[in-house]
Amino acid sequence: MKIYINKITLVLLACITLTACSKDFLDRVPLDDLSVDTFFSSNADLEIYVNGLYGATMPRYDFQAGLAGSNNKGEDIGSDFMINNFSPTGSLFQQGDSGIAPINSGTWNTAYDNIRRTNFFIENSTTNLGSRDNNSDHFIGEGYFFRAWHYFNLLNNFGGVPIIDKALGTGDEELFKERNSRSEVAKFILKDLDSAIVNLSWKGTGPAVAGRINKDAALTMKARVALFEGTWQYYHAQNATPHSEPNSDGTTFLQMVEPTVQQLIAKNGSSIYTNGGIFNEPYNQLFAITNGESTPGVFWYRVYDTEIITTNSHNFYNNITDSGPGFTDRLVNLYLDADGIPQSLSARPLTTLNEKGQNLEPRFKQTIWTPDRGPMNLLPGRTSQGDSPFRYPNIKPTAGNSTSTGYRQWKGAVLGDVTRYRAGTADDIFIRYAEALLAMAEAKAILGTITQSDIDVTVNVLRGRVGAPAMNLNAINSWAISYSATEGFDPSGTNIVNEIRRERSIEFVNEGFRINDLKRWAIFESAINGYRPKGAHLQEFLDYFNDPAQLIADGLTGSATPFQITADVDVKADPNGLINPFFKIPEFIEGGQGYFVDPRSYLNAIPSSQIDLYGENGTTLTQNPGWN
Amino acid sequence: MEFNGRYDATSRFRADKRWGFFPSFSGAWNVAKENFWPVKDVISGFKIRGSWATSGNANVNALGGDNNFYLFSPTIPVNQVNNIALGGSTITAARIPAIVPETLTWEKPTSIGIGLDVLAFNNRLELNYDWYQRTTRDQSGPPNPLPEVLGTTPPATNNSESETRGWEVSVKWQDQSFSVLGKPFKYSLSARMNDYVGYVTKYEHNGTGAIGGQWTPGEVFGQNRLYTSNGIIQNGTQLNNIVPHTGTWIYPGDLSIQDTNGDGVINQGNGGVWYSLGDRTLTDSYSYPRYRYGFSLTAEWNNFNISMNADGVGHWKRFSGNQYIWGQGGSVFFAPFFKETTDLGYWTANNPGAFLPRNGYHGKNRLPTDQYLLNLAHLRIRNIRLGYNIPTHLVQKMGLRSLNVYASGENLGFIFYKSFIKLDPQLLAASSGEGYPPSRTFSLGLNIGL
Repeated sequence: MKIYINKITLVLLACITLTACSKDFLDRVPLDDLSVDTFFSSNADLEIYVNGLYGATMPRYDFQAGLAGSNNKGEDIGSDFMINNFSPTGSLFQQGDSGIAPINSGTWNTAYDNIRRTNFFIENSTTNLGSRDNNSDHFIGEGYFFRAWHYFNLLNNFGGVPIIDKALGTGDEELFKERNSRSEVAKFILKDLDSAIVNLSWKGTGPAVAGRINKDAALTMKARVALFEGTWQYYHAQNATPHSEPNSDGTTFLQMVEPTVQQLIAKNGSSIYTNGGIFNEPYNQLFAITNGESTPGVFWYRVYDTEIITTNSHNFYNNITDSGPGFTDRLVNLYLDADGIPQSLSARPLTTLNEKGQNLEPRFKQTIWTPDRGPMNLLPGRTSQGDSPFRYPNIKPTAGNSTSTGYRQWKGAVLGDVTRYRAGTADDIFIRYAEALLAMAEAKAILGTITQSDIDVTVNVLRGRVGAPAMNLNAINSWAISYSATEGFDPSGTNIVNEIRRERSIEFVNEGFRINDLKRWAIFESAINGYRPKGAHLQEFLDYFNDPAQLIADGLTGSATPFQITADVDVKADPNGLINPFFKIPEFIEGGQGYFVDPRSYLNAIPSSQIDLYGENGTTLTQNPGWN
Repeated sequence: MEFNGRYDATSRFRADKRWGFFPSFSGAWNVAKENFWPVKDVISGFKIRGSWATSGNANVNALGGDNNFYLFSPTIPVNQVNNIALGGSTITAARIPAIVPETLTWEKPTSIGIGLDVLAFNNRLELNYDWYQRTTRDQSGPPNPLPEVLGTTPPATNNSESETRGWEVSVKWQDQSFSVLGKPFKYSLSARMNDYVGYVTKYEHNGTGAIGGQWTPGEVFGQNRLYTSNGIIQNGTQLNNIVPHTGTWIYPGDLSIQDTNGDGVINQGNGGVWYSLGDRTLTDSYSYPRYRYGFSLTAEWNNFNISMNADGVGHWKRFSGNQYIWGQGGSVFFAPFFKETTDLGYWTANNPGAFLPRNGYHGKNRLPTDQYLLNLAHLRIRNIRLGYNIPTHLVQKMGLRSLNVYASGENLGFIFYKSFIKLDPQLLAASSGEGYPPSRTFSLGLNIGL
């Protein structure tokens, strides 16, 4: 009996022990992850969290291991400035499109995913933090900057959207929040940017070094947002489009630009990059810099350095080769001549590429290849890299890689040894000073308050660094010139407003601004509809490629036959002698209707799944104008 | 009769959702053993089986399977990012914790099974039959959709219930009782077949089916939803009469799709819900192998033996838009690269009867249509083996205990297989044809017993 009782005791003991043990056991947390309860207690925690927000803001850049890779030469594809070689851009070619909203939108989803991440940070960053110092301020500022960045992306694409400012739970009513107005979203973004500006360190100070966001970048971003929303509301109200904001002409936003930019001018003055490299081309070589940290006027950039980043790289090799997109006549027509006069008023000869290179303002030649540079494969540092032995871009699709318009990119030529352009030591620029300067000039021109001294500290800083004639307000005002919306201008605007537009278009070509500029200026359809993109004058290409002696003199070793061009078969010119890259497509020959965008295309559709989900809940998420 | 009970807990759920009790019960009755069984000589076994079993599944699919052990605990994942450099070095990055699935608990599959085993004609005939229904209660289906402003995947909940019904039957005939030319002849023949279907019985959210990608009560798993093809457009006249796809250009040589819902556009509807399919229709074809069947044969006579296995699938239809099936790469400039598809032919004005639409990797021609459904039903010879045992008296002369020679072949080919691309069906289903098919093997062998 005693033994029996002992056994029972043992069993009971075992039960108690095991139960207790298993309870603890099942409640243990993983050792390799960090607990929310103790995180954000140090600057290091803040830093590694905001580190994780950088990737989502770097959409323009592609990586690939090793030598092959991509480039950023196609930033303006999908606008009137640049085309893919032989196929019209789908988004500008919408005849017959029914306008049915897509079910889902990656842009919508990704933006809100990222906003949740920033909300979580902004809500929790100070909870466990003992004391704040400059460093913690800086990282908190980065959080605000990134939230602003993603909301601006939503504003660009969708207009007003629901503003969510906390990491929601599954039961939150705000999950079904209605759309806020454009103005509300813009103000929210600007408020976040103000928080960012207050907290961030200036470039090169504190943690704001080597690729981190800084106060300079946030101020420029604020100028970008204020100018975008201000001009959007101003021009859409003026043109009474369905995208206008009720009872607003945008001037309150436009007025925010100058005080913001003046803070930058106070710090940076006229300091921008002026090192022209071997060709003395400071505008061109800005996009080949290897050290953004020490480059004046470069505020935010992505660091590429093969010493640090060993797994991936950014390849600039193809940036200037015949490998895809080419510029259009629309862009080239915008350049002022070397005297600072619009081409329509100019007496200079401007037919061949070389004539243009010699007689247009210097940024033309620093943006687009001209044959007087000689055979491509003899460029300094690029010899024996497989570049073409020709001085002209190849425009014949069957003869290898080509640039169908004949206007091949030269902007951002990365020269020098192979590790520079093939293995990614050139940094990629996101935000630069020039944008802030031109934003101030544009806002003040629209508001009618611009003066010659404003121009001197903005436009003329940019012109001065390339040796272009300074902009003179009185001279411009005296021009007898008409501006056409087709070319991206405001026909009812003053000369100075339009000349600032021209300046912006030229300075920022292929940095991804063009489409949004056309949209905020409310001339998207005017600029796009009916446009049949053209290239350079065909004749000089025929003269060159059909003369084997020239090809051989330039270094061709094999047969010249594959490169010979038969006009009207391989390529075809329009009646003005300009290359028509789409000559095989009926819509793009003489009399064809060309590109077409519907007025709804100013904004993306709100994805129908979201509208349906709100509907199921008895709430409303409104669709954008023109979408079904 | 057997009864079983389990009381299980897992760390994967929150403390108050952690425990589950899972009883089960089974029984069998061999009626032929009862005294009243009238035909004991003919049918010696007649066993009726029945079972009812519950179990708990904590490896809920929606949670990423086995890898996520700490669902209840909101933790901040940290990783190294090697392609971004800040402040002079690549970065360590922390990320937002996922939403904790607070209510998540065990999925509770309940199975009912009925079976019958028959043994007859002096054990020469053996028949087995099974029927089962497995109901997964509290199943963690796709998370209930929430607006994307949430900014993350909604947490898993036990929001659904699904059922699987299946059956399995096998028959075997074996005989060792007679002889041929004075030598005993033994043989057996068997055939088997099984099938199952699974369908959703409850899904909490999807009353109206507003949103795609989620389950719908009544939805059958693996049922194909297809566009109906009108065939390849031959000329401009036909081109003018077709209903266009949104946002693409159609030329002769492209596929014409039927506007089955008559709304003037070809699209997939406003969701993946089975009754909101746009111009796709629910077909009576299934994308997983149904009616799997097989045959086996063995025979032995006078030191010779032979065995053979064949198996197949009765119904299996899949669509794939993959380049391994269409023989074209990602660009219109790419030439067709497989002989199989080139032989089938791409449409051109000079080859209007071609099987495939015009050359080029056009998404609009790769919409899942009835026309290009791969029919993966087949019957194949899995293996054949012939053997001969060298007679004992010869073997003993060589000083051995036994000696046996054989020849065998594996994967010997299809008795029938109707897919327009004749790649191995398993390979087509698993990777759309990319990879190596099962190899065909022939072997000759010698077994020596010392």
